Parts: sequence; structure tokens; C-alpha cells
Amino acid sequence: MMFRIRELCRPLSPGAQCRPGQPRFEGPLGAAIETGRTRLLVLGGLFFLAFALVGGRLVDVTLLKPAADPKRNVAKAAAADPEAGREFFRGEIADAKGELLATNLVTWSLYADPKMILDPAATAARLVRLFPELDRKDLAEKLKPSDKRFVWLRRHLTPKEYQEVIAEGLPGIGARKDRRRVYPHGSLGAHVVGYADIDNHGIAGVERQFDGRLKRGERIQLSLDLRVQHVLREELAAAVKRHHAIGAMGVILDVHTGETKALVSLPEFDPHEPGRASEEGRFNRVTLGTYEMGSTFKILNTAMALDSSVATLTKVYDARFPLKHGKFTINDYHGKGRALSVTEIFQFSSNIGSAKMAIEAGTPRQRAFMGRAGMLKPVSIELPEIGAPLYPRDWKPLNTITISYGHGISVTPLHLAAAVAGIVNDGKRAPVTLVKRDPKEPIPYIPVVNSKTSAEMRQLMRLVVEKGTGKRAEAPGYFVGGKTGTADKSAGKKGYRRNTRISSFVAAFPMNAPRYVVLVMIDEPKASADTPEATGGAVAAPVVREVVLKAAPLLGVLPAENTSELTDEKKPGQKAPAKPPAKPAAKPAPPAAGRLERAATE
Amino acid sequence: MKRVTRLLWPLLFAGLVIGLYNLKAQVEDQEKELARIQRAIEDEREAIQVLRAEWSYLNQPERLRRLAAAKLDLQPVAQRQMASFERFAQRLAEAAPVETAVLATTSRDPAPGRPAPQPGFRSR
Repeated sequence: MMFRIRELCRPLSPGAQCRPGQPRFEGPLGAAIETGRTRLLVLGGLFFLAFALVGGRLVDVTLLKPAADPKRNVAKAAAADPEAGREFFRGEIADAKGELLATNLVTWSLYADPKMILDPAATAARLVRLFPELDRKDLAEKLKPSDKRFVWLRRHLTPKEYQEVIAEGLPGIGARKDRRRVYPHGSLGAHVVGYADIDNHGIAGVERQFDGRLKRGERIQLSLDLRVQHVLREELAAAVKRHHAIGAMGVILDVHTGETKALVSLPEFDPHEPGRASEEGRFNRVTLGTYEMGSTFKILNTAMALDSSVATLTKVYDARFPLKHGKFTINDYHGKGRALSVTEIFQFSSNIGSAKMAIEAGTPRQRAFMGRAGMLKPVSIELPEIGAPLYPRDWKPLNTITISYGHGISVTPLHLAAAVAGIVNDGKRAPVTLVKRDPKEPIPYIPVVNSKTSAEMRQLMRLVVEKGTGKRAEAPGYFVGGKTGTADKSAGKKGYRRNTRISSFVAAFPMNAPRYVVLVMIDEPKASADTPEATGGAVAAPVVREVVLKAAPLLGVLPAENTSELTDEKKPGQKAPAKPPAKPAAKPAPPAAGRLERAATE
Repeated sequence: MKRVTRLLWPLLFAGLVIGLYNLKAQVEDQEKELARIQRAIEDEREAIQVLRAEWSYLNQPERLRRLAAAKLDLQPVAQRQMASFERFAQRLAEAAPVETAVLATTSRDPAPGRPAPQPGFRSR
């Protein structure tokens, strides 16, 4: 032995490696052993720490917070929320009855990894054989070796195409699961639903308006009723064909809730291929296009005069002579050459009478009324495509005159429909919406006119259909009331183009307790043997009649019964019970029968 | 004593190893099963999605109209074909006395030369 234990370590003894109470080694090797021991101690301590750490973590993971491990609770999570852990699909869009308007399908998309491709030319040739519409040169270019490791070749293959490509077994060509937006109803409602691009970003319509919510997988339920939409579209399309028109617009609003039940703009487009559609096809005429409405504006003018007590139904205005203002002369289409009461002015759509009413009311009152009716602001509908109305910044007396019969102010068809809905709905205008309303949520009505004016307007509108310019809109049993409009189309600064006009009819039904407003506008109808005058009464009113007859049962409006018995059995040919001419349009028939919610349809 | 412990430790070790191996194998199997079921669920969901889209597609109003026109002997509902229950009750009340009057006439001998009124039929 080269060393011996000399003594126990004394406190404060010289030498660094000594601990009190431990034997101390001395001699030449003693120091080395001391060093070795200290090293062992340090190492041991380190190991202990490491194991303590591992052990602690083990306890932590297994006993203390097992919930943090996602795999562990798959079953529990799935039971709590079946949708959890799913990949996000773009949200669906449905109509008021739950019919799908936009949904997603899983497809396969073809891609290439140029680095893996052995022979770009041959690969391109074989792909072109499968997909003749692909350009071979373009394809070969894409497949050429480059830094890229991923190129889309073709998106959204059909299952058959997918099978064929996979069977080819081309190296460097693969298919990836992809999602394609589909619109099962095609162009029906396309202006409302809009469309999304190939990467599922909303580009137009509701798809764009609610892009954020749709991307989060939320489902959007619209107020639109697809069947009503179809009825409106078919009737409008038939009218366009019948009158060789260039387009048409139509909208049906629920007057109580402001919900849009149908919104049609013709021509249409296919949302699957928006690129192929014409500019006009994609243009939403109902919400984006602004037009001078013409005589349908007399509803607003008359309501304004009655509401402000400037006029009463029986007040008489001299409409014998054309009205001159500066170098302008205002004339009547259906001139009677005599003094007319307010009722008659509305019934026969007299421009002269309307202008005189507006002059009497005055510009500030007219302007204020147009503001209340929502004519000076864009409509607040949930679409990105909304048109701002055009009206004179400097509202001169001449403007007051022309605006009284719907010229010199351009609004979207939706503006007019919404305002009329407000006037007939006891003077309370519901904000227009495209999204199905929660029945529990209160509707923030905007007052337009008082109850009395609303009742009088309903009578006047009914009278127009019973005995005025809108006779062809009569749908027996539904008490349609409305107003015709025939507006010459503006040609910019050059004034107006004769015989290019928009013929329109705005109606509400049933007039005893209005539920829906229907607005129909036909763009540039041509006169023909059947319709020598392509006016609103001749062109648009019959469309309203057909739409009401077909859509009312779908909307849950029951026709009144006593009139049907009269027309069918006792007095064939006569449409409605005669009414005393002095008191026009006394409240027609039983209100009880008019409302039976949805019983007819569901 | 020492020998027993020497024998016990390897045995314990081997037991643990086997147990752990089995457990891991079981977990792996279950995970595979889980993945398979999840894939199957996803496939089913996709299939449902396709069917839903197809259902909506087949419900195109224009298509239904065309099919109904071709295959069914139906027409759009006319206004006189619709009625509410209140109105029905009203008409029953109206009709009741007339019905009894008709029955009363039939029970009597018909007037000579005039055909007996058909019971239950009411001309208006």
C-alpha cells in the first residue's frame, strides 16, 4: 500500500478535497483518489438529477394532467362533439327550407413533382391522351425539371378520370384530395349565392359577403325560398322571351320581416363557370343596377302627399293641361283631359297631377320623405354588390317635379320593393335581409308613413288592379294591388331614348292584410301584335299575376274563398264583387281566410 | 436468500418486458383500429355529402316540374281547390238545413211528371 489513513479530516485543514468526518488520504496517490471521489460524487449528483427529472415528468404526464394528451381522449371527445377534430369544410349555404344552394364535394386533383419526372415529353403526351383539353406544350413546360417540387396539373377530376390517371402509373404524377364547391341548383339563385374560386375563396354574392364565416365551416341559411325563386325566374324568363326583352329583374319581399323570398336578375350565369358568363350575366340588376323607376314612384309621391296631409284622397288637381316648367313640359300617357282627384291621379297614373301634388308638398318635404323611404342610401342587404342611388345633390324645383313620377332619381329595384313593403306594412319598413331571421329577434322597423296613410295606399293600389292601369295583375282571390310603371331608359346626357324602356309593376298581396311585395321589371320589351304598347300594365302586370298565382300557395297565403265561388259558379266572367265607385276599394273580403301560415305547403 | 433474489430479479425483469411488449402491441392495434374507424367515418361523411348534394340536385324545381308534367296527371292547384277548416265548418252549418229539406222532399211522393230530386245533391 502506498498510502495510509493518517488522520480524520480536520475542519479548516489545508487541502481542498477534505470533508469533515471523512478519512483523508495522504501520500502521492491520496490526492488522486480524493479527486476521483469528488468526480464520482458530482457525476452521481448529475445522474440523480436527471432521473429525478424523468421521474417527475413521468408522474406529471401519467397522473397529474392526462387530459393534455390529445390521443388519450379521442373517444371521449368524439362522444362530446362528433364534429371535433374534423377537417374544415367550407360552410354550406341553404335556403329557408334547408335546400342546399352551395356545398362541397371531395374530389381529386392532379399534381406533378417535376423532380421525379423522368421524361417530361412522354409524360405530357400520355396525360394529353387522358385530358385532351390540356395543352401539350404547356404541360411539357410545367413538367420540365426545375426547383419546384409541386405543380397543379388539373383540379377536380371526376372519379373516372382519377381512376384512369392512377392506372397509368406515371412517376412524379400524383393526386391529392381536394374540395370542390358545388351549386346543386346551378344558375337558380346564382346572383344571391354568388360563387367561390377554385381555392374556395368567396368572389361574389353571399359566398363573398360571408366568406369569413363560411371558411370557419359555418352554415348560412338564407331567407330565399328556392321554389318561389324558381317560379319568379320562370315567369320572368317567359316574359323576356315573349317580349324579346334584353333582361328582367324581380324580387319578392316578406313585408313583415323584410326577408327576401326570391331575387332574380336575368340574364343569369352558371356559378360553376363564372368566367364563361357575360358581364351582364354576372351583373346583379336587382341590387347593383340603378334605374329611373318611372310611375311606380307615384306610390311614394302619393304616400308623401297623404302622409303630410298636403292632400286627401278626394282632393282635386287640375290635370287638363300639360305642366310647363322652364323649357320642360310634363304630359300624361293616359290623359283624361279633366280635373282629377288624388285617387284618380294614382289610378290613371297622371304625371301632371303627381307633379302638382309634389309642388304643393314642397322640395324639403319630398326630400325628407325619400330619406325615410330609404331612397337616398344603399339598401342594407347582405351582398357585396349593392348600388348607391343617384339623386340630385342640388334638389331643384324641376327635380321635385320629375321625382314625383320617378324620373331624375335612380334607385335599385330593391329600394323600391323595400319602400313599398314598408308603406303597405302599416307604414313600418323592415330592413331588407337575405338571411333567415330568428323569429325571436325583434325587427328594427323604420317608420315611413302613418297607419292611416298605409291603409289609404293599400286601397289605392288595389284600385289600380281593379279598375286602373294594372288590371292584368288581378289574381282572383289574392287581392293583388300595385302600380304600373313605364320608364324611358336614360341615355346619359343625351336625354331619353324613346321606345327603349323598362316596364315594371310593383305589387303587394293580399291587399287586405299584405304579406308579400312582388316587383317585376322587364328591360326593353318590344311592342308586338299582342302588346302594341309595351307598358308596365301590358308587360309586367301579367307576370305578377302568374307569380302570385303560383307562388302564393308556396308562401302559405290562402286565397279568399267567397270570390272564387262568385267567379266560378254564380257570375262567370266577373272577377271581384262590385264596389261602390265613390268609395274605392273598400276593404276586400274576409281577412281570416287570407292567413293560414304555411298550412298549404307543409 | 441471495440465490432467491438473484433468480427473482431476472424473472421480474422478463415479466415486465413481456407485459410492456403486450401492452404496446395492444395499444398499437387499438390505434390502428381507431385510425381505420376514423377513415371509415370520414368516407361515410363524404358519401353522405355526395348524396346530399345529389338530393338537392335532383330536387331542382325545374326538373321536378318536368317530371311531374311527364309522369303525373296533376295540375297546379287552383284557388277554388283550397279551403280552410273554419270555412269548412261554416259551410257544413250552412248546408245542414238544406240537406234535411232535400231529404224531406224525397220522402214524399214525387210530383207527377217531375223527376224526384237526387238525395244529397244540391244545385246552386
